Amino acid sequence: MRDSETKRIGMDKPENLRAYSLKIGAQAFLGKISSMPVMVMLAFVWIVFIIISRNFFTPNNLVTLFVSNSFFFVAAIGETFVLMTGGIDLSIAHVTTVSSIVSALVMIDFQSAAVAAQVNPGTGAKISDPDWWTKITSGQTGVIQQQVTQSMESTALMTILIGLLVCVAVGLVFGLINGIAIGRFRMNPFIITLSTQLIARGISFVLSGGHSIPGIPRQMISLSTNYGIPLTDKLVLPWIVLITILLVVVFGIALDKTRWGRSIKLVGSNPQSARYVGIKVNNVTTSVYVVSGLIGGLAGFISMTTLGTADVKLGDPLLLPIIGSVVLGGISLAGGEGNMIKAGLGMLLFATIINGMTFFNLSIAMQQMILGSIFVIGMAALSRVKKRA
Amino acid sequence: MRKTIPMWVAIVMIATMVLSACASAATATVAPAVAPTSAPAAQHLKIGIATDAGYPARKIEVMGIYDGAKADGNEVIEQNADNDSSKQAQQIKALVDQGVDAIVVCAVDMNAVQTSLDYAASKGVIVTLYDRFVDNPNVAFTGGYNSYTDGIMAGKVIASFDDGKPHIVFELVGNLADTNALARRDGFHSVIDSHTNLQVVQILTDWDVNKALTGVENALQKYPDVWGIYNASGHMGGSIKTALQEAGKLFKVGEPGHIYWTSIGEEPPAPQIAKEGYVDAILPIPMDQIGIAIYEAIKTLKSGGKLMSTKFYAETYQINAADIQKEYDNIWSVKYATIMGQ
Repeated sequence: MRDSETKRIGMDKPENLRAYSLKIGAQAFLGKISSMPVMVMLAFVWIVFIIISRNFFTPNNLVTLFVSNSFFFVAAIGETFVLMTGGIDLSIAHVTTVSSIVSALVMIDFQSAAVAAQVNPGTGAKISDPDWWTKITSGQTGVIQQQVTQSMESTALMTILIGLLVCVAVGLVFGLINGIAIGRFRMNPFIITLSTQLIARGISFVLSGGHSIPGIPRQMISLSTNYGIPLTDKLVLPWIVLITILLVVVFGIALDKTRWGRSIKLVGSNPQSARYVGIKVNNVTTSVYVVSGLIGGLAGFISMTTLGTADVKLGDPLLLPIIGSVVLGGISLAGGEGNMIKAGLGMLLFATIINGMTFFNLSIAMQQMILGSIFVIGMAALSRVKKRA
Repeated sequence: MRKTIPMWVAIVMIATMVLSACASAATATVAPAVAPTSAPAAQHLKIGIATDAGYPARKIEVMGIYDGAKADGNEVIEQNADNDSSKQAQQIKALVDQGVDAIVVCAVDMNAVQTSLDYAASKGVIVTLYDRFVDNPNVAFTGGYNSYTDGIMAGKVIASFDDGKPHIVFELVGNLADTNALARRDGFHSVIDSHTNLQVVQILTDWDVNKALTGVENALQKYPDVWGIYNASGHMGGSIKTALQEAGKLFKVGEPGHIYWTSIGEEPPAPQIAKEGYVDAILPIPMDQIGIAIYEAIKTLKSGGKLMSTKFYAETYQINAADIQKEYDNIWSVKYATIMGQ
C-alpha cells in the first residue's frame, strides 16, 4: 500500500525525490528568511549598493565598514542582552565614552611615567602635552630620542593591557550600579540608565575638559589598521574586526545555548513563569546590566583603537543607532524575543546603510530621510511577521 | 493587500529619494559661481570634501573649490559628518576608497581625525584641511584663518572701552575640541588678562546656540551688571540678543546702559544685529577666499609643483558700529545669502 502510494505520486524515482527534497528545503529556507525580514532588507540594500556604486563592494570598503563600526557592533551586543529581558540601557553609549576617557588618561599617565623613569626622570610631562617630546628629550637629538622611542615601544603592551583593564573596570562599575538598582531594588530601567548616562557624560566632560584625548599608544591604533591577517599586498583584515566577530559569536552562544541565556529570554517573555520554574529573576536582571556595562567598557577600548583617541562626544550620536539597529534586527523592546544573529544582522544593516550612503554624495538631510524610511519599512515588515506568527 | 500598502508606499518613497538623490549627486558639483579661478587643468581631478556639519559658513569656505572644479571640468564629492567624529572617519575612508585625488577636511575633532588622515596619505591622496588647523605630518595644505589674532582683535575691541573700573565681561567660548575655539580664547585672553580690572566670565557653548542662550541667561542671573560681551562666533549673536532682551539689557551703541559687544565672524545673525546698532564691532573673515586657495594648492601639488606656503590665512578685518550701514552689503553672509539658503 505504502509502495503503491509512493509510486502513484512518483516518489519512487530518484530524480523526483531529489526535486522534492530541494523544494522542501527551499520552502524551509524561505520560511526561515521570511521570519527574519532584516535579512531580506540587508540583502536588498547590499544588492542596491553594489549595483549603484562600484566602490561599495570592494575589499577596502568592506574592511572600512567593519573597522569603523566595530565599537558600535560591540556596544550593541550589550544592549541586546538588556532588551532581551524587557529592560533598556540608555547609559551604554556614554559608558563606552567614559570608559575610553578614563582609560586614555590612565594609559597616558602610566606610559608618561614609565618612559620618564627610563629616560628622563622628573620631567613631569605627559605624552598628551603638545611639547612632551621636547620636554622628555630635553630638546636633545640623537641617542636620547632613540631611548625615548625604545622606551615607548617597550612600555606599549603593558600600557594597552592596563587600558583594557581600566575600560572593563569602568564599564563594570556602571553595569553594577545599573544592575543593582534595577535588579535588586526594582527601580525603573529607563530612569536609572538615563541617570547613569548623565553621570557618565558628566564624568567624561569633567575628566577630558570637553575635548578628545590624544596620546594613546600607536600600537593600539595598529590593531584597527595594519595589525591583522593580510588579505592582499596592501590590505589587512585588522585584529579589531576579528575580535569584534569573536565577541558577537561568544555572546551569541551565551545567549542562545546556555542556561543563563535561556533564563534571560524567559525573564523577558514572562517573569512570573520564570519565577515559577525557579529562575532568580533579580539575579538574571542584575547580570544583564553588568554584562552590558562590561561590554560598554570593551566598546570604549575598541573605539580608541579605531579613532586613535578617546572622543568625549562619542556617546551622543551612538545611543539611538545601537537601540534602533538591534530592534530593527528583531529584538523585541518588550523582551523575550530574538537572538544574537538577528541583532547582528540589524547592526550590519544599519552600518551598511551609513557606509553605503557615503558613496552617493547625499546631503545629511537626505541620508537621514532614507535611514528613517528604511527603519519604517523594517519595523512594518517585522510587525507583519509577528502577526503571522 | 491592504496590509502591505504602507510598506509599498515606504519603498516607493525610498526609491524616489534615492533616484532624486542620485540626480542631485550628478549635479552636486555645480555650485553658484563667483568667478572662474584658473585655466583648465591638464588632468582630471576628483576632490573629496569631508565637512564637519552643515553650517552656512562651510558652503562659503568651499565655494572656491566648486567654482574652480567646475571651470576645469573636475569632480567634487562632499560628505557631511553632522558633527560625529566616527562618522567623519568613515566618510574620509570612503572618499579615499572612491579614488579621490585629494581630500579637503574640516575636522570634527582634531584628534579623532588623525587616523583617517594617515589612511588617506597612505593611499597617496593629497591631504588638505580647511577652517580648522590640525597638527598632522601628512597635511599638505590648510586654508583657514588665524583664530589667535582674531581673538587678539576682539580683545582689543573690548579693551578699547576699558575705563579702569572693575567690570564683568562675558566670554562665549566655542567647542573645546576645536582648535579655532581654543585659539580665539587664548588670543582674547592675551589682551584682556592684562586689564586686571576686567573680570572675564567664560560661558561654554560647544558652538551651540541653545547652550549659548542658556549660558548667557544663567550668567546674567549671577552678573546682572555685565559690562562687555565677547562672542567667539557671530552665529551665536541671536542667543546673546535674546538673553539681553529678556533681562531688559538690550541697548544700542551710544544708548545709556549699552553693553559693549564684539563678535568674530559674520555668520548670520551677526551682521543683522550689528546693522540694528547693538554691536560695537564685528570682525568679519573673508571665508570665500579659503576654497580658492585650497583648490589652487591641490592643483599645484597634483601637477608635482611646490607650494610657497602650506597655510593660507584669510585676513580678518573690523567693521565698527559707525561703518556697518556702509559695509553691510559687502559682508559675505549678506552677499552670498542665497547660496547659504538664507
